[in-house]
Amino acid sequence: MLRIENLHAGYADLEVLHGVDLEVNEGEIVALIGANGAGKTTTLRAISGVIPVSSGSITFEGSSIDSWRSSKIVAEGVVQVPEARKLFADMSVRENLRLGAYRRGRSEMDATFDEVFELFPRLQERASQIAGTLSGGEQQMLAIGRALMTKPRFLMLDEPSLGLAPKLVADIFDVVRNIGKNGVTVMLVEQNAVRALELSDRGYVLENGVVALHGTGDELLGNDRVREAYLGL
Amino acid sequence: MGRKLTSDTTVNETTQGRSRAWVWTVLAIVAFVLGIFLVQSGWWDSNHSVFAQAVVSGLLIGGVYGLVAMGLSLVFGVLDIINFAHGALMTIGIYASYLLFQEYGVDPYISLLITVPLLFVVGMGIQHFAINPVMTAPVHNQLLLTLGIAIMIENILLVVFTGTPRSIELPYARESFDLGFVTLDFPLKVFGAVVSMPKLIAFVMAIVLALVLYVLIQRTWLGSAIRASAQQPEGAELVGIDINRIYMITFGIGAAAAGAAGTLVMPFLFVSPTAGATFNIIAFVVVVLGGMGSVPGALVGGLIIGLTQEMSQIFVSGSSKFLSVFVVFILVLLFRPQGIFGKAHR
Repeated sequence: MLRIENLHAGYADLEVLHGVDLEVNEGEIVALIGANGAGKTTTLRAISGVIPVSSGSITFEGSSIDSWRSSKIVAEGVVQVPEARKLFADMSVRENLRLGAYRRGRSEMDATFDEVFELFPRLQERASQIAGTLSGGEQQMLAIGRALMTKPRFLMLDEPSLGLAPKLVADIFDVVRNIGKNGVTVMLVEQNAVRALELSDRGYVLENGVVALHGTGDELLGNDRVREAYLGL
Repeated sequence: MGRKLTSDTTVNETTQGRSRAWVWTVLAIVAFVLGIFLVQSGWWDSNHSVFAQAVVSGLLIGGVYGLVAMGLSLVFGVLDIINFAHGALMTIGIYASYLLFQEYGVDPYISLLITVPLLFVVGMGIQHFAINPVMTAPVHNQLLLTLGIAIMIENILLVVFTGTPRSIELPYARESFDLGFVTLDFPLKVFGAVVSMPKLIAFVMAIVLALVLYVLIQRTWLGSAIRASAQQPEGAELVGIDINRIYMITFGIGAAAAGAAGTLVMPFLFVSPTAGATFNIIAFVVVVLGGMGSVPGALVGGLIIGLTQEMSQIFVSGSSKFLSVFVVFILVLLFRPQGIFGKAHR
């Protein structure tokens, strides 16, 4: 479904990715793990078109999307829940969700509202509350809900468990599993490598801007190098 | 950590709130004492019509300031660009409606239907070809660019129309209008103040356009996308909003507001290539007073600055009317730099 070949990307004077290769098949949940600064977030930002690709290619369902504008990439169904959520903090929960459906007609919007509220009843209770006043966990739910309003086919989540209480972390991982079950292909970036790999079909380990290892979730969980470097076992 | 930060902010806000209440109380007492003094001394009896004239003139021109400032504030709030070409765009509106009136006899208020779309397109073009390439450049580059555009527009107008000031006379400015329940005999007399028809129309239309703009930003789908792009550009991109298109449209709307204001003031102004420049400077003061990026703040700020400008002329005769405006400007920067409706940047 998504194929990245020899991807180089980064910021003004700093190349972060030095030739990343990875592939995600339809219906899979794929984990992307690695230390801070390895290039996980940069990979997602390059896929979403938020930062330019300097060389290499990103193809989604056969079409090359690496030079597309981010709005077109979202319209194609490639969506991410960004690190630090990037919510519209001064707007209500409902307006944040509505903006998620910006590219789609209003007629379809109501049905998706129901789906999101079913997944996160908490958001329905707080629909009129200003997003910036929600708790960290609720903000994460809203960020995921907003992304779901776009009707993604390929959803990337950047550290969804960051800064959440353990109980909430478990809830968020359940939600991710459910999203995958509903037919959305998922790419999950996580510091919490054990949980991420347990949940995922396959995983990639990024080190210094290249893929150092990849395999099924179980393979990586059993790999000595991964256990030592990322799982602390 | 998070908890500690929150409680600190709350404490901070309450102390700020208390000191603000204190300032307002002192101001109210000073105003009250001054009022009693003026009435007692007989000043009020001999000057109340001058006073009424200042209030009326101030409010009328203040509405136009509000409209000009709304465009400037919107562009600042969304694109984070301080547009020094805003006044020059207004001048284009002034000349466009002047030409339409002189050459084709188009009523200035009807010509809004042409000048507003014209400036919208001109604004989108300027954003797309000139501003967009410097969106991520340092602030001083952006300032110099918009200032350069302003100088360019003014000089093109100077070449084409020369510097000779021109003016028009509205053919119906001194007629009477029977509204059924009341007859309006222009120029109107209100509490001893004279209200000229072009200024009254400019005020009413400016307020109407300001409300239209407010509804557009607050209540429409496009407005949601504009506000989203202002609050969280990357978040907006990630829900599929084409942020470059939003920047272009927003700059177009800002330019259209300037153009509309230009058309509205044309009938009572000397038309010259620098006619809009004065409004530009005042609009900056209004935007700072109302709060950078706040659209309702721009309207309220406009009315306050209009009043300040006219009222100060009663007390300080012979002085430049802009002196008091800049005194207000400095006071705002010193005591409430975020403006009336602005949020403090911590």
